[in-house]
Amino acid sequence: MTATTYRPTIGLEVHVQLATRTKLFCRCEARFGAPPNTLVCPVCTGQPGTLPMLNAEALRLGVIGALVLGCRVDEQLHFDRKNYFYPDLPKGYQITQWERPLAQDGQIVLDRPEGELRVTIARAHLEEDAGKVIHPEGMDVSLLDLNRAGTPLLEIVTAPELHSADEAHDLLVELRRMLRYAGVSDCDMEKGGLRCDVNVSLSASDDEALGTRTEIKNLNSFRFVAAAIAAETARQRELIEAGGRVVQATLAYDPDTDSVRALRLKQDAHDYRYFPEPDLPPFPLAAEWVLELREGLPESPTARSARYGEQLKLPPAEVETLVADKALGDYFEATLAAVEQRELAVSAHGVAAWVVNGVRHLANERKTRVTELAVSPTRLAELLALVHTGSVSSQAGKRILDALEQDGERTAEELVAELGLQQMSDPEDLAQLVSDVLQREPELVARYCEGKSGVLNALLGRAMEASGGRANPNRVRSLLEHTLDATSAPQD
Amino acid sequence: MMSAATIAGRVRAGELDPVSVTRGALKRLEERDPNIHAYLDADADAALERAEQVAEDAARGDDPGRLAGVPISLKDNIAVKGRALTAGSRILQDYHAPYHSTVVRRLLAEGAVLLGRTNLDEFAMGSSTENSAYAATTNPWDERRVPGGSSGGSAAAVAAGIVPVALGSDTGGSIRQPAALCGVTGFKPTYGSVSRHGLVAFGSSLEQIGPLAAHAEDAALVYDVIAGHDPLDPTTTPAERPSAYKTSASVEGLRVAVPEELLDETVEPRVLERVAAAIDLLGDAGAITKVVPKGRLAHVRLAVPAYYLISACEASSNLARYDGMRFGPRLEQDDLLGTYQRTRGSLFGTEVKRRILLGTFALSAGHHDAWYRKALEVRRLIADEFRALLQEFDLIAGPTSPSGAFPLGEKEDEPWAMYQCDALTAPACLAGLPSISLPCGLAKKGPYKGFPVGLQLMGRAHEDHRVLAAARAFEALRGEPERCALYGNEVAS
Repeated sequence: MTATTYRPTIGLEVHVQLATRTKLFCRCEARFGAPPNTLVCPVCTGQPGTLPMLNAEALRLGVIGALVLGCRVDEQLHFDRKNYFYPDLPKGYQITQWERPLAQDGQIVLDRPEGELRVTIARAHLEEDAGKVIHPEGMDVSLLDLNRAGTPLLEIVTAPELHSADEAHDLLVELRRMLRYAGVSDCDMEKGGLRCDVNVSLSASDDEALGTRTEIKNLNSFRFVAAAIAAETARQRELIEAGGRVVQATLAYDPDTDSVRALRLKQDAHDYRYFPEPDLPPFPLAAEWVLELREGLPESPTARSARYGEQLKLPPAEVETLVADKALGDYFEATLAAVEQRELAVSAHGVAAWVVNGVRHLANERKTRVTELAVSPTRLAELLALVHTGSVSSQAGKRILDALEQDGERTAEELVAELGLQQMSDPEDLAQLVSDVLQREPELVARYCEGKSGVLNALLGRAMEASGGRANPNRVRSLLEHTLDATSAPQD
Repeated sequence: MMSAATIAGRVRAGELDPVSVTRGALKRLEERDPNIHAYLDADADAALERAEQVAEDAARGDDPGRLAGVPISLKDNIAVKGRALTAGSRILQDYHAPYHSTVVRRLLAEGAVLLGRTNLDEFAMGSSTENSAYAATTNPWDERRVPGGSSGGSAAAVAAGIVPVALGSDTGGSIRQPAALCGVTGFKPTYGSVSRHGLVAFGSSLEQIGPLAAHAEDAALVYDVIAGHDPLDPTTTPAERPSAYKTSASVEGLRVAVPEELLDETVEPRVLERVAAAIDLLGDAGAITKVVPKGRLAHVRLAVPAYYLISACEASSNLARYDGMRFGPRLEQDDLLGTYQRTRGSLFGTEVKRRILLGTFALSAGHHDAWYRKALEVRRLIADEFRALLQEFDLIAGPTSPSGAFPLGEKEDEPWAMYQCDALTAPACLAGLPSISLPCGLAKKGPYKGFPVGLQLMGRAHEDHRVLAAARAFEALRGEPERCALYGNEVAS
């Protein structure tokens, strides 16, 4: 007898916060981190008599998100009310889309080791976020912060077509990349900009039918999503193998114990009493407008990756780095455009190397985002121009990049002058430099004369050091060779 | 009492001091309101301060506006910034509105003086103004009778001659029925023509704010001021709105349908008698009136159940925000559920809880299709029938209410009997049509002998100006309506 094996079937419900300046139904700022209840108004606190006003930018971003995911966008926009009581829900209902979601039937293609995996996006719809109940430690009170109430969300629901924690993880990574590329959402999980509910059911290997489904709520990191799926799969398997039955339930994952616990069972499930939101009449979504948005969609990460590899001939490692971080890729594009505008003969590869090694490191060192650096792509292009023409060495270039970041105002050229980093190319200056180094390093010279030509690099290093990195290394090298060969030749 | 149009005209001409007008209204309020309890609060200081401001504007030579110096009372479900807003409920006791409703902004922009909060059935649920948590308003014609509801406070205030105009709200008849029972004019605009921003929501898809007035021309004047597209209310329509005040007041050549469904045996015969006489008057003045045999409005008999289901469903959701968490009193218990139950259980009145339960049930899983969805189907059928009839006719005429002012307490324990008060007014709300109730004399015999009767005129959607013009024409034909003794004749000096 062979042991029965079990396969999990997983569906995801992902809530992403749309990258709007203001909330979904009022004009309060939708911003994380403000002092409690400072981004609120009569509408988002549910004062009597207030009515929702749809934020057009949220609708636009929602449609773009749906299009990026290959969804079919509905011809009309319908909102419903989802009724339930909780202190963080100011109106006692959430405005969402139930019967007619904004969009349906999309797809995400995952590049998996075992081949391509196509996952259906069942639906995507707009809804408002709730506020937050805060339970301060050591105090017997609950506090309410409504800054988040009314923040626009796009809820994206996949079909149950994933079969491992790893696949679920990959799907989320790709989803986040696609949405960030399209500017739909920052998907910043630390700020609650992407949250995930996971449905898990097991089916026996000898039986196609899916088992009872449980739902794990509100996971806020990809790592926890994978861990929660693993924990829940194990829990269900052990339960079934012990002769028990899985009961339909809503669960929470506790990362400290790496286990799930029940929030509520099916018999306690909410009846949300959905009905059409009477305060927001159905609104036509013009086909031409949707088409316009579709045509204006930004390049997808897949397309960008192909272009960098095939057209720009960038090496695979740099393509990966530039595509993984859209902001870095955008920085690269902007620098490349500035370089081209100046008609410099710097190759795309050259620009990419500076962005990946220079700019990215700069941002990492300063623990900031590329977009928040003081040094702009234009400034970098100016610097590349100086390096390219030989006015500064690439070593000095790195120092100027640092200086550009610190200064933030002056041009590369101005900083070169101020720091005295002009490349030393004058033959007399270089001859003097070489002659000084040779005099100071008689031992190295002697070893070179003994035939140890590798010593040349050490001498070059000393010369560059002595020049403060300004000397043109190629010229110094040839000058060194020339001088040494000339001095040692008569002894042969 | 001077009409609003007269007051504004004289204030604009510099012939009348708005402060004296307001003082007059406050004096009448002080004298007369103890008999009728139309007001929850006079808000006298704010009214006088405002009147002084209007006077200053006028003295400076600025145009003080189309409602310059006109004292207007508001039903206490309309938000005025900084002022108490109770909706007649304990659950909003001590709540103060943090913003102005759009109608208030519009009234103030035209120089109106807001004077007092008028009483209402709790959350506008009722037809007698007995359901207020604070007091029952009585009919100025007889303190033992109801003023109708839910805008009973506004109707009584106007009927008693305290103010020329008050605002009410009408979800199923709450402006027109009290207007009929108090002998004043009450107008419910086309759904979407007046902003609901700042109106405490009850049945969102049905209700509109509208004027109650002693004179039809004032209803038109105020309608012109408060109507219009509002970005703060996405259900308002940007349709073109000709001035109702300036539309020529004539009924000549108007085709007026009198459907038999609105004249059936549930309507008191002595009410029908007055309405028939009023319709004859329209005919004499050149309107083409025609009794339409039963059949064209076949589903109107289902208007009350459809209306109560839909409004209760919406109310069950609209009133969910009154949970004691963010505003209003909170009756704290050991756990959250207990706090919700105690707060809502103790602070909502019986009728409000009845409707919340009804709506919650009708929307719940397993019952949604049988009740809520069915009611929406009936609503669509009724709307279609009215639309079809109004393709052949310009107006539909009939009684506003099946009865006159009934004794206090008569229907208090019989919700179903109370709900029937809306039988003739709910259809216009279900269909979103403009509808007005006009005083058309006093019942001559029967249980309502000596009490006012209302003629109802309904028109096509977005033809509010036509309905109001016909009302003004009717008023010209009829002459000054009968007034109750409280109304008096003195003129503010």
